[in-house]
Amino acid sequence: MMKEGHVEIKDVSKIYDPLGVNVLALEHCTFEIKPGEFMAIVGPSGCGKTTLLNIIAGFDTATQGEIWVDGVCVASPRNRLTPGPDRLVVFQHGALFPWKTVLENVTLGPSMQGTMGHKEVTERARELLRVAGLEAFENEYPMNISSGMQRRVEIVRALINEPKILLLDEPFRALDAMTKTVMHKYLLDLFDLTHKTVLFITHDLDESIYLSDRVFVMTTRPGKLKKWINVAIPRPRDIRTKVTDAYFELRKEAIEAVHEEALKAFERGERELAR
Amino acid sequence: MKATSGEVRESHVTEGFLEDVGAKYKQIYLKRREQVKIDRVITVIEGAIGITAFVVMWYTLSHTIMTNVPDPIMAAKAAIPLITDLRFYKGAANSFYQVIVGFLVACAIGIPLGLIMGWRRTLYDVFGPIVEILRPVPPVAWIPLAIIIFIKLEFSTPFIVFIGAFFPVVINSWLGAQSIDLSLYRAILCLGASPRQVFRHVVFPGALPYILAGMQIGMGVAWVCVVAAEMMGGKFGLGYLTWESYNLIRYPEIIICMASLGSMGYACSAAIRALSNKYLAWKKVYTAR
Amino acid sequence: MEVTKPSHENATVYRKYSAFQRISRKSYQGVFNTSNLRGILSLAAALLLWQVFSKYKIPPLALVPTPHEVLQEAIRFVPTRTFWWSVIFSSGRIFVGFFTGCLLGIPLGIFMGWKRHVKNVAFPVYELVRPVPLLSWVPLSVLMFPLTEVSIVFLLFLAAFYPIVINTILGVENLPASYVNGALSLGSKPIDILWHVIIPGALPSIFTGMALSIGFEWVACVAAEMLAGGFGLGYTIWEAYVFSIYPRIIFCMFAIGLSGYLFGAVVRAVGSQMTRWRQIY
Repeated sequence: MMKEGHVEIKDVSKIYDPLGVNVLALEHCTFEIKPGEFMAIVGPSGCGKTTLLNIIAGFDTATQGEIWVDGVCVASPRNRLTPGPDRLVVFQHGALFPWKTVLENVTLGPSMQGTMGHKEVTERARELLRVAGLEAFENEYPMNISSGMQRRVEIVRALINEPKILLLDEPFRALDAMTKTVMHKYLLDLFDLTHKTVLFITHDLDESIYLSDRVFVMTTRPGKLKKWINVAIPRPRDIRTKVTDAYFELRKEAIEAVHEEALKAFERGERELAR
Repeated sequence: MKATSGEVRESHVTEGFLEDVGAKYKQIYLKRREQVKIDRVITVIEGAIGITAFVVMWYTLSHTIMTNVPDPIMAAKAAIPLITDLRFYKGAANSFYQVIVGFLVACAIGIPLGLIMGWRRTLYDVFGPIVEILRPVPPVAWIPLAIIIFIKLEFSTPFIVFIGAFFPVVINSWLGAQSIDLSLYRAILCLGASPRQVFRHVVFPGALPYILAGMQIGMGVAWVCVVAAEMMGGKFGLGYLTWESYNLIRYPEIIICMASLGSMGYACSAAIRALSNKYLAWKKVYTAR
Repeated sequence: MEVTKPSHENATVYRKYSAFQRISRKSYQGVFNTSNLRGILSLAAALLLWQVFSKYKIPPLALVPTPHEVLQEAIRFVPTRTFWWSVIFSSGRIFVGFFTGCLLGIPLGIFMGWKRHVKNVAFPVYELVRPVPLLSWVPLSVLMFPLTEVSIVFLLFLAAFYPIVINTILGVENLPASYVNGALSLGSKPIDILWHVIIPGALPSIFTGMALSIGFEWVACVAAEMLAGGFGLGYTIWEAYVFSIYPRIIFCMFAIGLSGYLFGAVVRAVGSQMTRWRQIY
């Protein structure tokens, strides 16, 4: 049924040249995201996973390689940058507009593009906020609600535009561990409801196995896809999944690879890109 | 390895314990409320002490070392004839008019220019050098040039006010546009916005705190410029009246003119502050008090 | 569109350059890039417009001298003694006013920021006097100090005083309480806290205030000199206007601007040297 959201990344490389020193950020990444699949990419800080996401989203051009979405080439070295609502991003440190209320933030996308009328979009926004449990906060400013709520509003803001792919750039990084568990459940419920294609970037292996259908492990710079594991745990999942044997088996497969990369990154002394 | 764990036993709470504790906390809470009220009164009293000390110091100095300076009582007495003098009001209105005209033009040109400079690097490269070169030149130094350009003094005063208010407004708008988080630009582009929509929804509201701060600074500078221009060669305005009072040896009037200039400047800045409070309400984070 | 910046240390280099190549590429690209090119072109365009407008007497720049005339006047005027004496005089006044302002303003600001009660007493007086524009103080200061020189320096002192005090107060108030708490837990006396925690912590803000006040100083100095006269760059401009030596006016404007910028740059450089512990990303 959901046939859209088929992403193919073909041989993408990215070289930065800031004032005389060539830096290779991504090296020949090739993989494929099937429609309706939840894919996670795990890697240490500074490995290039955010660069990959920027290229897919259209904020950055690749030096080599192409990105195809549903059989249409959306990004290549010759194309102009075209971010758009078909590939929506949820950012790491939160990108809610602080000067707009929650409702205004959510309705901004469709009303700016003119796809829905004012009443229609407000109705739909209220509906989605009700699913998120935030209907009482629709007239609050983002600074007055907790960070967990802010993340939920951002995800709602992304979903109301019906994107083909949802790109999540370490969205739960700034939350504490307990809020994270609630957010994970919320994301899983949403995924079961909508079955959109999701690309989830994180540095946490547990999070990625818990949430996704397939996990890729990325090496430190230059970023290459090192290993992938298929997460065959059936949906719907809940917190008890984290203590099953299947979960531990998957962790065993991937944890050595991740730890090796983490050590390499640490020895290189990579400074955190995120402030 | 045997895992050991157990439940924690609920503590045995005596009857009336909660009421006792509650009463004690209520007492502390009420005392704290009283303390806050007392603190506020003390703050006001301290302010009054400061002002009284200032007036007393003024009085003693004007009677001992600086005998030319009029004392507070003479200054207050001089206010009475001035209030009924039409020339005083005309002068005040004239100064105010020059300030408003110059300031509004400075904002109308400066805010869009600053925002665009902060938003698009290309336009910063083009306009930046010119602004940076002209900025350190004091507005007062422009006065002879302004008189040469505009010949008649009536047009040169708003120009000086414009020069004075322009640079703080431009620089602050530029800083404001730069201060917007990059992710916000990306987020709105993701939502499918045209450049005009980006400007309306992100650039302008995001830079608004800085714009309003720049407008306050610009307003202060505008008043300084108006006085400078009027003293230099004007025929109207409060600055000119101040200088005239000095020449006519009507010294207490100087104090009154200074005070009126001060209050008008303060009123204008307060108006901008009121705007800030209204449009920057989103910045207030509610703290549990 | 902006591009995320990676860290350069220990990065995998795709093409290996020698150190000499790297430095020369960096400096070349640092100077000859599109941003600087656009800036130079726009300045050249502005100069051209000025030349055309004033040469062919197009209003509003009908009576304004051309850049060529200004340059000639500059070459003629700079070697003269009048010019350098006026620069020295203005700078001297500014130094005196600035240092008095710092000497009185910084301790007062630290005190006011540290002890809330001092601030409550002094601040209302301050806020009452502040809105009065600087230049309207000129007749009053002449009355207060019969000597012209002292009255001008008083005006400059006033100009420097406000930014320094306000920025010092901000600097002290914005120190995180954890700094002071940390010092207390290490067992320090109040004088130690003042010297080792509060003053160094407020130093960045103090230097910001000093840089701002130098800017205001030049504005006030020029204005005071134009009105009260004597010597100095501001008076030179007025003199040039009275004697209709128009190119000299424009040259002096730029000279004042340059001096103001240089003084501010010096203060900022000293400030960043003394506060090297601040990390600037």
